[in-house]
Amino acid sequence: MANRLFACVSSSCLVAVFQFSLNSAATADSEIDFDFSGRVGVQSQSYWQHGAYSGQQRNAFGIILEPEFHFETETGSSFSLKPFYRHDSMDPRRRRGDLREAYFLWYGAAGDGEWELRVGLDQIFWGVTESINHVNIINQSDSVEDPFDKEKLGQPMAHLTLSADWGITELFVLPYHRKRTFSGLRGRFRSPLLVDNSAPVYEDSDKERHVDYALRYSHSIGAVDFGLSGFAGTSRKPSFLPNRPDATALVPYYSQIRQVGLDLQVTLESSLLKLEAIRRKGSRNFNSVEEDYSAYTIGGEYTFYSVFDSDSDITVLGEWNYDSRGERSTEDLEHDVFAGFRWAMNDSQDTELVFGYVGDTHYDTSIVTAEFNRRLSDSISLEADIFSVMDADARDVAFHTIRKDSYIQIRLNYNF
Amino acid sequence: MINVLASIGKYRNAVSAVGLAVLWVGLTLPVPAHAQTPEEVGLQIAADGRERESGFGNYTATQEMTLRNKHGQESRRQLRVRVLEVEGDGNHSLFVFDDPKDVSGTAFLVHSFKKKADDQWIFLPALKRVKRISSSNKSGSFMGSEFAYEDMTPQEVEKFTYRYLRDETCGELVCTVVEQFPTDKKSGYRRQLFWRDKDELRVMKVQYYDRKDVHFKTLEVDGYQLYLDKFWRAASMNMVNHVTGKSTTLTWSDYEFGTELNERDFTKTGLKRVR
Repeated sequence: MANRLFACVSSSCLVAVFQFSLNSAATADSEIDFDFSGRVGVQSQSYWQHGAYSGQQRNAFGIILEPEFHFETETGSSFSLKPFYRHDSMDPRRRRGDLREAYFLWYGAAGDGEWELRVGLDQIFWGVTESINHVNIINQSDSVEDPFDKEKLGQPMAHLTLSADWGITELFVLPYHRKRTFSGLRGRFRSPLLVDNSAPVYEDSDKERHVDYALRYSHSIGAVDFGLSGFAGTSRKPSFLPNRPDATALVPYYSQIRQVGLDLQVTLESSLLKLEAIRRKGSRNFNSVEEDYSAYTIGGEYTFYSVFDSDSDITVLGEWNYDSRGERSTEDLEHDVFAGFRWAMNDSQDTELVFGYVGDTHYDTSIVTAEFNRRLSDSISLEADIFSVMDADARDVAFHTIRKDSYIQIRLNYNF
Repeated sequence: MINVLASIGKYRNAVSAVGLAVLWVGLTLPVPAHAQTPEEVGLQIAADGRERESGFGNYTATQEMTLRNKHGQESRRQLRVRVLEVEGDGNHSLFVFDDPKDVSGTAFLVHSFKKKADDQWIFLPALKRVKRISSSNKSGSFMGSEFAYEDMTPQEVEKFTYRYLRDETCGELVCTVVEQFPTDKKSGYRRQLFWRDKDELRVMKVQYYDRKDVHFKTLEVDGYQLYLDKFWRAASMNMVNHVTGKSTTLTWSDYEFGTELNERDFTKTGLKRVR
């Protein structure tokens, strides 16, 4: 697969550069700290309905490897490597590896502030809300790992940060576009037609080698944390074209887009108030027609501490999602309400229960999720997840295509 | 969809464990001038203590927590603590979790202030996400231990009222006993009793009274050592909960003063870089 090839090419490059870097570091200070950590997970996933489309299976067993290597010189310069590999019994497109992170880091004083440079593959998270992160645009989604775009592929970048009393300014140069991942024939969370990921179409003639740029300014002032961001380059989210000549599959189409974003959180005692908003130009809507749009998520959370004289904390959450394209939106949450609560027991096993609900205000769509987390020993932890489609309106295509994909998933992690 | 929420709460308000190390040392002896009331003597002790504690610059240390339930079953946490003194205001602190392994790499940044609530951020390494969190949880359990968040926070002098009670022997030493009342309504305590030795002003014991004035926790502090010829730091702190029968031992080690830490290590950018 191209993804894997790309990862391997990058890793050998980086190792070579790092050896060079180590050698030059060794002349000054020969001490290099090495740290090895990570986790190994086994996972069982059961879908309680037959798939909506032929070929889809009901049970999957997976193994996930996530080791992490870190080298650091005495001056604080470092190299981090975080490979990822998943084996999946159900869908061959989930048997794959990636480099989540493989970057060099340097930093130092600059006037009254600081500079920091990261070069390599890295993960960047922007955002404050929980149901969707409109502003989070740097990394491509690893959709076969998480259909809700929380898992990301490593993004090649040069990332310069300048910070001081006036805030944090970051500049990103992104020289390579990663393709989004999609489920295969036997897999869940897919459309009736499979995605042919072998030859995606790019609007720009430089294709995946188009150089993207991003800029962000962020700051904390009293109770307010905010970020202003801009991005110009290849969209991470594709629209789709039928393949030629027989329209038996979908081909991803990546537009050139420009986006400005705002993320804002106000922290007031037990309440967090949150807003994420974007304006995007150049992307195609659900009908594959170019349409500029605005989208925002607004909401917050409130925590009741030590409820009923126990050690437990209960947090309630609520968010409202808006997309100016309405039914022409390519997002799952275009006019949806998100509500949930988290029960943290604060016991020695860190037992935690999280419930979420998503409801569409225009369509008869509703989703319920539940998560349970508990540490079983110093090194073993348990995660159990339920995802359930209660209703999926035929007009709400994003959810209608996954209407049979409710599941329960159990994962055991060995952490080291 | 909401997996981000998991694993945030358990570190919420993971505040300056450092406060413990700092708080328990160096409150000066009362000098009971004839006109002073017990309240004034208590306040004087606290103010002198703050003065005496200043000037450490920065330090790092390792903290191991052993949690014991009433059946004697144990579980452990280990974290590294980094503290920077801020002139004229509260300290900046950074906590990095090493154990248990599932939370390894999680880090907290706390900016404390003398006259307002702390600013706190948490870094979640799996998501590479920095989240600003609320600092209003005072009485909740810190990491499932018998220490409450407010036990771990640097206690600013202005946020309490005091009353000097008496002198009495404590082991081989003589201690002053001072009563301390939180003015913060979110505190889980009605009052605390502090035993400090008269010679070196180190906190040797604390009794905690809940809102119903029931004595429910006792802390005993051991193994003081002197650093930079000025700053006393304890090696061991044992908190027993008399109601639940549970206890927590905090063991401090690897104290290092005068490190290369600076203000840039206690920013949101520094937080993302923490190992």
